[in-house]
Amino acid sequence: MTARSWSRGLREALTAVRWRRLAAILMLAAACGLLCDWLRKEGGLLTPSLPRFTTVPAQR
Amino acid sequence: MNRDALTGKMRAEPAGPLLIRWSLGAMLAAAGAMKAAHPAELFSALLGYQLPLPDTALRFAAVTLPWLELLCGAALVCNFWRETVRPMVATLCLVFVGTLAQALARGLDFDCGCFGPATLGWLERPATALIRAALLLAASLYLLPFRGSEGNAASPCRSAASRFRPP
Repeated sequence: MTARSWSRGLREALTAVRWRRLAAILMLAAACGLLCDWLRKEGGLLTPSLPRFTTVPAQR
Repeated sequence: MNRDALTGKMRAEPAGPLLIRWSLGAMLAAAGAMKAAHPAELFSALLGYQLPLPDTALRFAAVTLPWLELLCGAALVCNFWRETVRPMVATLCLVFVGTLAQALARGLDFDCGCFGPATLGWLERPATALIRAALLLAASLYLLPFRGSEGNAASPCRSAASRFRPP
């Protein structure tokens, strides 16, 4: 493969990007990350964790 | 396997690009999985790079970047949405090289955090991490032109196929 054909292929590859697919991958990664951060027991980096009851509240 | 746009037949991917694609995808997916399990360690590693970014942006990167790596690696291995995933992987590798290079150029003492909290000895050294990232970037750039013509609007094969009229 020559440098010219490679650069042509590179240019074509960059113009062939489908932006909706790109956005879908980015949003899926963000959603998975935020969900896991939220579900983390010891506290997430961004989102407050789920409230967890370690003891049963006393009934009156 | 790629589908030929003119004949519609499946054609085998050359062995070189196939091996490079599998290796690159597996490495990205493994690194992403290890980092996704320990985002706090990745966040502290990101702080070591002393990037001019706000704290929230670094936290967001620590939470989402491993998943992006994992998804891109898996998609690369499966050859899924190749016209979009391959430039994305190349951009990711370019970001890694740039981040590592600026930290090394400034003489920072940092933990690369490439594989989460896993201790890999000399592989974790900043210079080694930069060389590794540069190799990944080279591999991803090498893979860029080797995409199939299927689903590629700018491909000359596709435009030739659209002009082709059977007798």
